[in-house]
Amino acid sequence: MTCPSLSTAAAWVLGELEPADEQAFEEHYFACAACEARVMQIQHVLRTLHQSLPPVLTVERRRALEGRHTTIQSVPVKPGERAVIHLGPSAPIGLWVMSADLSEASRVDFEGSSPDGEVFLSIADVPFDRERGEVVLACQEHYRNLPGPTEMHVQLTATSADGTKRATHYVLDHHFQSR
Amino acid sequence: MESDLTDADLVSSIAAGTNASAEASLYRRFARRIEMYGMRHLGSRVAAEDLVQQVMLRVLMAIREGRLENPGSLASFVLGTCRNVTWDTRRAQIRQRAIEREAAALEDTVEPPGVTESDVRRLMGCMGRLPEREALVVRMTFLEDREVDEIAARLAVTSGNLRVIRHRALAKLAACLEGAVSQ
Repeated sequence: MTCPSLSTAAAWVLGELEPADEQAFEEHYFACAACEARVMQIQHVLRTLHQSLPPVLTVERRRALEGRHTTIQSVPVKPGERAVIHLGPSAPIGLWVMSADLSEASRVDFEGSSPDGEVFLSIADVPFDRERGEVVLACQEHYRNLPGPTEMHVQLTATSADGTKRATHYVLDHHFQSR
Repeated sequence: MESDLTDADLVSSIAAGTNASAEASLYRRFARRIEMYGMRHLGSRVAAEDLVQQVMLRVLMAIREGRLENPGSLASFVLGTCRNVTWDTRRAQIRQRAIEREAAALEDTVEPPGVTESDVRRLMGCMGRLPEREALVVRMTFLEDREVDEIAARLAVTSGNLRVIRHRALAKLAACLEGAVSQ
């Protein structure tokens, strides 16, 4: 039997194969070192994703993060304001909590640009907290390795169910302490 | 070399008791496969590790006692044993206890073994190379924990199509990570 594809291995790991396909996969997998390696690859991706902190946090991720780390900085930013986060080995994660009127929003898009207007981070349909009117952007210490300016001009565009768009702007700056 | 032994050779050696390292070879050959099976069907690393121990013990006993009728079908026998033990495990609700133990263990864990900061960075790089829709599906599923139906509605695809997109995206990420590691 030919080895199933990496996609099939992914479907098996997620428990999303049809029963007959699952049975066939498992019968092959238990006799195949190559397929064992494929399953391990998929598991590694899933574990790594699980450990990754996305740029924009859901309410649940934020809660879990704040519960795990006592040294997390949360910096509130109102529309039109500028805020600074200082990151370093002792403070590896900071949260910018951008407030906006999101009570009517059905979708929020995020766009980050440099001071000269070049967009370098664009994320469609980001998570947001409608009740608290917040979008939370996580900044991590290892971002120090990324190219680009430390100052980011952010535009949040909230779209309501009737298509009305409302944009708010923020200036977020992050400074890295020397190691 | 040990790894060149066929399944039938391994079974013969263990049954005859002539090769002390045959049992260790058997373990090395199947332990990871059983563990991944346990992760898939029991959903918990602790439960999967328990499964490895139980299955290996049963398989070894069966070989030593000559109950494995066809030595060439060792892999099928291991799979069958996995299914039986998994069924027993579920019935005994060990899974729930294992998850609770794992949750408690996670309290003290910053990172599970095997995932490093550079893995995370490489993965983010690989995500940047995915087609936009696939990256969106990965982000919404695994980083934002959104439900399949919600994501499918957002992207105007069926739930079935969404799953296929997700499988492909994971496969691409796995291949990309593997390439990134070997470079």
